[in-house]
Amino acid sequence: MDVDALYAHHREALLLFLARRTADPEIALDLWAETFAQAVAGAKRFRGSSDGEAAGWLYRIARRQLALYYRRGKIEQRALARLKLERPPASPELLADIERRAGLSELRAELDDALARLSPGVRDAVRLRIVDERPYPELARDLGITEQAARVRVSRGLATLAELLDAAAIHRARTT
Amino acid sequence: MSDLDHYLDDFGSRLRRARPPRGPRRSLVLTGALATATAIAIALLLVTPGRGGGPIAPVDAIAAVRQALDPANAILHIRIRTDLTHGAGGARHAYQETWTAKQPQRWRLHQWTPGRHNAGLAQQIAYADGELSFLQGGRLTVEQGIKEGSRQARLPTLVSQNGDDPDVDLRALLDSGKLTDEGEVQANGRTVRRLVSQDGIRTAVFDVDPTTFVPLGGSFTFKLAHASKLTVAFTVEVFERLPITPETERHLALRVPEGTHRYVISAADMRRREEMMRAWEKRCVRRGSGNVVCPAPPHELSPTGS
Repeated sequence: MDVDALYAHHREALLLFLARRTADPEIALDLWAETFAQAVAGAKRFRGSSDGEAAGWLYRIARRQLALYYRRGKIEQRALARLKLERPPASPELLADIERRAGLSELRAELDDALARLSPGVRDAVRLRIVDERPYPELARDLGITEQAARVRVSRGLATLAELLDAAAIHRARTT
Repeated sequence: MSDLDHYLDDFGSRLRRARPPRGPRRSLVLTGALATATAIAIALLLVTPGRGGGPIAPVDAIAAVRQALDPANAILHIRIRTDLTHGAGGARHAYQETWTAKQPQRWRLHQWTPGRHNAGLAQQIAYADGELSFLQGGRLTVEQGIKEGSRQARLPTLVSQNGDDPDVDLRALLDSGKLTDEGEVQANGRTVRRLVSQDGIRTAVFDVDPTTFVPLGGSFTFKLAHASKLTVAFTVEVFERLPITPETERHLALRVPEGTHRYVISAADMRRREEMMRAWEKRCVRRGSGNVVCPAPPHELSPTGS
């Protein structure tokens, strides 16, 4: 499989896919870099032959990373470490550009509506982090919990919201 | 060209330069003697203790422990004793013993709790040739069609008693990079190298030999309600590499007593179970508290279900 071609075709779309599912450009970049690193490290195991199969394989890796992040609140960087690869640091301007391209402002408005469906503890954590963009240490202090617990609450909340937001995206696609 | 395009180009060129590793830890495939010699050579690089003011020694202890646990070209035999404070039936200790070999992958796990009331609760699990076998209470269940390297073919755990929480598995922790090296400390009257993993609810401590990096013991501390804690300590009683011979190879296979009931679940049945499992998981609901609640699983999905 030609990983270079896969990267050229999907690099931006995959990043925006992850940005919309985490509502956080920095986390999306980490997941995105690990996804491509896993693709490079595991290219020999790919058994498909078409571009479509390769794209499906790539997005399966990405979804697995996303699921791990939702469950644990942590981002795996095993493949990046194995390849001795680091993603370049992102400037504030770059993060703002990803936010704009992924439509995160609109997404945050949708999230605010959807937050009403979460339990109070999870809702507060997600609102502070995603809507108000408060850093985790500050968020943890305000909620009286550890930083790790705050991360877990946010990622679990997002896991719930991801279904709602995907449903909203499907509805939009049908009606517009 | 935008900042994002530059960024994507930059990472793309790094990705092109990166070379996939040659194979699963091939560079760590060393014989026991060579591994020990390497570990000793690495140990010579140790400069000062990591804790208590001195800098962390310039050696990748986590990689060295991973290497020490690698069963390459030998059968890795480990026995771990866990000290119980509230053991069922008054038990004071629980044991877990594993024999592991590679190429092809095969292993056996034996766990038991000595004690008057629960001596019969010993359990053995083994994997070889695509078959996963469970032996407990006079019943042997064999699951077929389990691919080597798959999640199901993985040795349940190295240090947890139940094998139900991969996060407390030292191998998994090593692979995921969740451990931090705290350098050399004193424990139980000797110098050990300490590796620690922490998350919101649990702290895992693994003490390893500072020269050979083989695991010696450690503890798990769980946070409980009302700021209380529960600590479970464990000791590695046996850690050895056995040469692969017909005699030692027998340790990797289950010893099934005569008269044991045998149930075989074919590869086709396994696929049906997986479909059943997926259907069951879809019935789980996420509660407002964030917890996921599932209905009781069908009987067929229990480890000994038929």
